Amino acid sequence: MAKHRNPEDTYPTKEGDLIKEMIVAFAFVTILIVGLAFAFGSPFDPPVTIAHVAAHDPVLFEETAMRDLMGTSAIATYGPPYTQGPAQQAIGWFSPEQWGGTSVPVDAAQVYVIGPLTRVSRIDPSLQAALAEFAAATPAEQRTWENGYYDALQNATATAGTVTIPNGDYGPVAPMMQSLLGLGQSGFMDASLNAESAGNNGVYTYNFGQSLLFLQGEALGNVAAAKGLLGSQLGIAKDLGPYPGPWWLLLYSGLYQIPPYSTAAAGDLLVALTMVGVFLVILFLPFIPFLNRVPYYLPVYKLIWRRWYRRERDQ
Amino acid sequence: MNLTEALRRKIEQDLPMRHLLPDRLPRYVSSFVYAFGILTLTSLFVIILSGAVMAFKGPLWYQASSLGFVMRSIHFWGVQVFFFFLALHFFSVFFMAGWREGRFATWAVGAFLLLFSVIEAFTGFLMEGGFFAQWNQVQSKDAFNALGLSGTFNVLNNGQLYGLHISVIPAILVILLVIHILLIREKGVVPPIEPQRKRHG
Repeated sequence: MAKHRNPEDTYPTKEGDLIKEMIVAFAFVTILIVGLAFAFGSPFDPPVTIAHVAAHDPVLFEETAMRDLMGTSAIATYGPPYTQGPAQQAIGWFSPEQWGGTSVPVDAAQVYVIGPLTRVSRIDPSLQAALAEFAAATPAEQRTWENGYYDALQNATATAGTVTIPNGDYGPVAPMMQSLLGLGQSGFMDASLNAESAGNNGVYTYNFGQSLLFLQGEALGNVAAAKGLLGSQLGIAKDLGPYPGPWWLLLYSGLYQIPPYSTAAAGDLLVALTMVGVFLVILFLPFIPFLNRVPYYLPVYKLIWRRWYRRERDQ
Repeated sequence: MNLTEALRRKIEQDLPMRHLLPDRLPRYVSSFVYAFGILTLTSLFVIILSGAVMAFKGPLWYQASSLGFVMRSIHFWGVQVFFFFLALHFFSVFFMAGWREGRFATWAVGAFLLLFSVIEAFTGFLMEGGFFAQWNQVQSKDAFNALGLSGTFNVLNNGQLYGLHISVIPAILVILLVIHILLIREKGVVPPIEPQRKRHG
């Protein structure tokens, strides 16, 4: 292939000063950015914690915990990377989710209910009997108590942070839930889960995976819906209130709005693969027939180089 | 073979100082579209400077102090301005068919710069410390899980996000940026399309 010479050696030139241009551009964008920052600030809504949910919507907190205990929550039935079982995201045999394995294991009942309560039982001995009774029960007995309590929660009332449920035989599940609610409201459940996520005796608690996975369903979803940030509302490409969000992700979040992405069970995988495809199209665009001709079909270049063409024509 | 000498000869041949720091540019470089690249670059300077101050002081500072919040706002708007000019730069280079005459490598490095800029901004949004970050962490994890990546890149792990955001990805961006600029200086600014030929080069 013939080596192209730098046009600075072959075309007529004029004086230019790249360093001066850069200094002027830097001054311009600095004034622009600092001005925008002072004029508008930046968006911030406080994070939602387990303590917040337990205090403000104790019934939702207990429903969430019960679904984890019963193994019916989104995280308990997720599949890889959190639980064993088939991946939800698969196109026939093609399932990177399955191939990735259970790399971030989460035993929802143990992590969110039994584990925290076992730790609390050291300072609340009355809980030990309930936990022992639950552990000693047959799976069928456990299921009866759990289903009974979960159904009763649908008719529960919350007053001043406490949950009142219709009378029934819920075995040890009722005191367990009451204790877990107290733990949640105290803020220690957030701390306990995040310390556990650290995997380093609780030092360097930077991994908020377990508390986020507890909150991920209705708890965060209700707040997101109120703010118009659901995935079905272009969620990730928007920010809070009137602030611009990561609008450059509009294509990514836009795909979730249309079939087949919005309807397919493997929608996440389809979106992810499409975005990989979009990047490859951009990367290899100079070699893709038709796309590499678009600049010639839509002659924006005539506008960009209009002075040059006029000069060429006039000579 | 003396590798040092070979490298020096290569640089002297492909990127002489008059091309690296030219004081004369081709006459066709006469449009405001040529400012988009340099405005993207200088926006990145503002982002890096504000980000360095925030990294120095730590996450609590920019979430809980008024001065920190100002710096956080500068960082936030810096990213908006950066992507605004990046989009203009991308489309203007596209409409100039800027990959012509041996400039595919420049285009390809630019594509990777776009990719890593998006990842960098994404990790930043996931760490802004409020509800927005939490919500987008749990939302976006599904796509990474679908690709089987969560064992490698766990978007729920703020420690990993922080390290990636303030060191690993910025280092990749700066290296790619230097290569991008050196390639532009080596090849020179792409010449105008010749309307009568309309030939893909």
